[in-house]
Amino acid sequence: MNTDTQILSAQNINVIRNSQQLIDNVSLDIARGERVALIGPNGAGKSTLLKTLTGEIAPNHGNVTLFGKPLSQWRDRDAARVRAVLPQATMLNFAFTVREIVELGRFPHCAGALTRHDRIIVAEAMSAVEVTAFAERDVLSLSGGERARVHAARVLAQVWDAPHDVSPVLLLDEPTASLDLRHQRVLLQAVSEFVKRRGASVLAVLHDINLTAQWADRIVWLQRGRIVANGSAEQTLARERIRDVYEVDAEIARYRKSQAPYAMIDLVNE
Amino acid sequence: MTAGPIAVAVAVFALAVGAFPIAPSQVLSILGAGIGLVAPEAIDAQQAAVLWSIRVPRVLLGAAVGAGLAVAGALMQGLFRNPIADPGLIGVTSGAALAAAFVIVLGAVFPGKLVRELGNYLLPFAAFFGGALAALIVKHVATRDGVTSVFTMLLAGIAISALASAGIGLLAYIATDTQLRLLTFWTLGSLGSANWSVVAIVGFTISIALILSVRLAAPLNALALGEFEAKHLGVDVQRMKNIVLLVALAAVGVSVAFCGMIGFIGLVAPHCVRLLCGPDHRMLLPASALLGGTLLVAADLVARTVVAPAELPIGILTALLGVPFFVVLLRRQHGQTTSG
Amino acid sequence: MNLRDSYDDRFRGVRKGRRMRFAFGALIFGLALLGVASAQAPRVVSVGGSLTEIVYALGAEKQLVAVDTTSLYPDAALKLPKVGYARQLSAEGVLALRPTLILATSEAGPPNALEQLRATGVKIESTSAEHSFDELRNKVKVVAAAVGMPDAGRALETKLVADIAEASRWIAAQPSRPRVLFILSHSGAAQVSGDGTAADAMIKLAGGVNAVSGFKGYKPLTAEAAIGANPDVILTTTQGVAAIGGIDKLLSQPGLGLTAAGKARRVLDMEALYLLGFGPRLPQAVRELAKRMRDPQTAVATTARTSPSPAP
Repeated sequence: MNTDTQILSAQNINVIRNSQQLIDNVSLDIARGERVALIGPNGAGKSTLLKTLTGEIAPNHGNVTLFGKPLSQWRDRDAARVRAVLPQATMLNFAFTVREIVELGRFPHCAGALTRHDRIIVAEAMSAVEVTAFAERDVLSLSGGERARVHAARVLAQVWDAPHDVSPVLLLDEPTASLDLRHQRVLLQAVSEFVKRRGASVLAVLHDINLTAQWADRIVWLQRGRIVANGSAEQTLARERIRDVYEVDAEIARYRKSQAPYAMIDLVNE
Repeated sequence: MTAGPIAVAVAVFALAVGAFPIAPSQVLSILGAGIGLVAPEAIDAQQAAVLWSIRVPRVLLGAAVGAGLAVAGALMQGLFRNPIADPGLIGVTSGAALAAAFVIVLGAVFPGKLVRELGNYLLPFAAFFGGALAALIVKHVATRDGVTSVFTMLLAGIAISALASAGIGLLAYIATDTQLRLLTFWTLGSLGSANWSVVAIVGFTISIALILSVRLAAPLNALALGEFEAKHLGVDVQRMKNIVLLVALAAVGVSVAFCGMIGFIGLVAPHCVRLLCGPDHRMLLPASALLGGTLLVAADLVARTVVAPAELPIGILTALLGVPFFVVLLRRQHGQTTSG
Repeated sequence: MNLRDSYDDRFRGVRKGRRMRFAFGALIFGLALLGVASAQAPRVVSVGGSLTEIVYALGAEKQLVAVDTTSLYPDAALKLPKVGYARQLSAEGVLALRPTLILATSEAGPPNALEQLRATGVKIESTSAEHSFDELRNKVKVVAAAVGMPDAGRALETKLVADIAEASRWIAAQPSRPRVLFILSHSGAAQVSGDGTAADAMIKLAGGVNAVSGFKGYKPLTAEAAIGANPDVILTTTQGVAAIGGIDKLLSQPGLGLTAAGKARRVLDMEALYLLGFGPRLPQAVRELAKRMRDPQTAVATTARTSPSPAP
């Protein structure tokens, strides 16, 4: 496997649905140990692109490879051992407990018969995103933010101990959407720690431009299905770009601590 | 767990009680004689005949059918990710009912040779065939490019059931009073067909279904999160759907074929288990089988004793016994969620 | 707890013990009695209204221990334990009556229950459900032999033959052959009876013409078919009239009002088992039908009529 650089790669992806071009000739590579954020306005095609990268949506043109092998050639079970996907929302109709849900993350490894090792991983993943306190509660009784963390723990548990010669892949669709400030930080730090420990690669759809700027190694700006910028916050976070992509005015400033750029949205009409 | 001993107690009680009086000690002696523990001279031949050729097959058939319907219900609820799914959702029951109505009302159109060869098995055979055909049509309609849509299957199931009830209505319209009556009895179910060959056929089919369902438990847990989520967890979703449908078709088809329509077990048993032990299919499937079998044996015990020497259709009893039990559990659950 | 209570408790315990011993003794006695009874007296379960009637007509009713739900005549039969619907017998339920003999028509079922009954050594005398006088004679022979009263059987048969002959003579002397439409309306849609039905056989025995023919069994009544059949008389069962809600309701069925029978309101009803049972009251029923369908005044009674009882 030519794993070192091309962990996840998309070449010339086009997605057309109902004669609408949702993704327009997108190419994207994600390297080992890289944290990539996908940002853009509503309807830009972020989720569509993410789903194409997971194989949920088949592109009309172009192809996606995982560790150099086309997605279509992967067996579900093999892919699940090295790649985990967090959807935007998970509809659940049955009252599983938090622990049971996180344990499902271990399914690709043990098919339901958890070993001691699996249970340790489940415990570690739960503690990483702070859900241990309500581990025995029924998921349906939790708040939206709590539930989102439970599924994040499940996804982390899934690839927590991927084999040492492969770097696992995390694809996260709006992982912080319903989280409070503290837990946005907890979650993104947990992911960063995981990336550092395992050399994992992450692609996350995010909305908070400043959180993104601080967290991501690279930001992919998507507008009307097209990549309009692709680079670090330092390279891409600019007043003109925010105006182009989001159609809002903003002021760019820098944190005193790290000198990282951040944007202040201008709400005052002149 | 106390469920196992309760199930055994119900089964023993069901063996000991019936319209024909046999003292409990005699029941033990007869059963003992059957396996060579008691000298055959010590037992009454007629009592032994009643026990061995009527009551034992009947309890076994009840246990098998109850378990089969309950597991099929649990599988359907898992597949549709909906706790109110019913084992009849994919059209098996209505297809079987249409075929049964056809045999009852228009039995004369079958070639005499076929009728003679199949004898008492003509109706079960036709019903199973009808049920299987309906389910396959539903599956076919809902499958495109090798992918079966559960949502389309739900609608197709409703459509085919409507079609089947139209057919049944037509047959009922041209049926004589006697045929209508038989049809009504059939739709209320009965374990009266129990004999050793029926027990062998139904028991074998449902045992295979139960064994296959064990392997579906963990994937169904993953499926509870959603189809793509299950796929991302490594589940071959389409293969699992095929097996779930096959298992449910076999279990429901063979039950309906020999015992008519027995409602409510497939809905209530898994639901009760979920309320008591949670939704984990590794527990849910075997526990539903145990509860379903126990409920049906208990319902049949009442059905065959309460109006003796006649008997009540068992479908009436499954509803009468099942519903209050269900409502109590629902109330309890409601109380918990509102207070917690 | 005071002394008195504990005394009472102990006393109650003694009484309970005694009562239980007594109950146990009674049970043993009862079982013994049952054993003796089954060894001696024949115990007959009759599954079929006409068969039950024959048992009574033979005077063998002492042997009867239970009947099915179609055994509605004579009234004494209603007081016997019921084994349920003839086609849905419970093997164990029937066996619990310790029968030595089961009288059944070919309609009895389900087959599995009959097989199980046979397997436990109970004798089943099965007769055909064919609608003819010959079959009635056959039923009488079979039942009389089975209950061990062949002489009474022969006497009944002789009487039946004489009665039907008398009825036939009267019918042969009548010039008219009324067209009769039989309507079955116990439940659901009203139906008319074609070839091979009990009603068809009765109409013919009474010297009438079945207004609908050319098909076997029953068919839903349609307006045009009713007008096309144009019966002189509409025949139905007392139960049917009650179920449909009276003669006016019956005649308001599409088309019926436009037939000759409908215009003249010539509707006659007879009790279902009496009319269609093909039991020992057959000659009487044939005569009553033959007379009433030729009576110009024929119209349904507004009050419930009880069918006349035959001399047993």
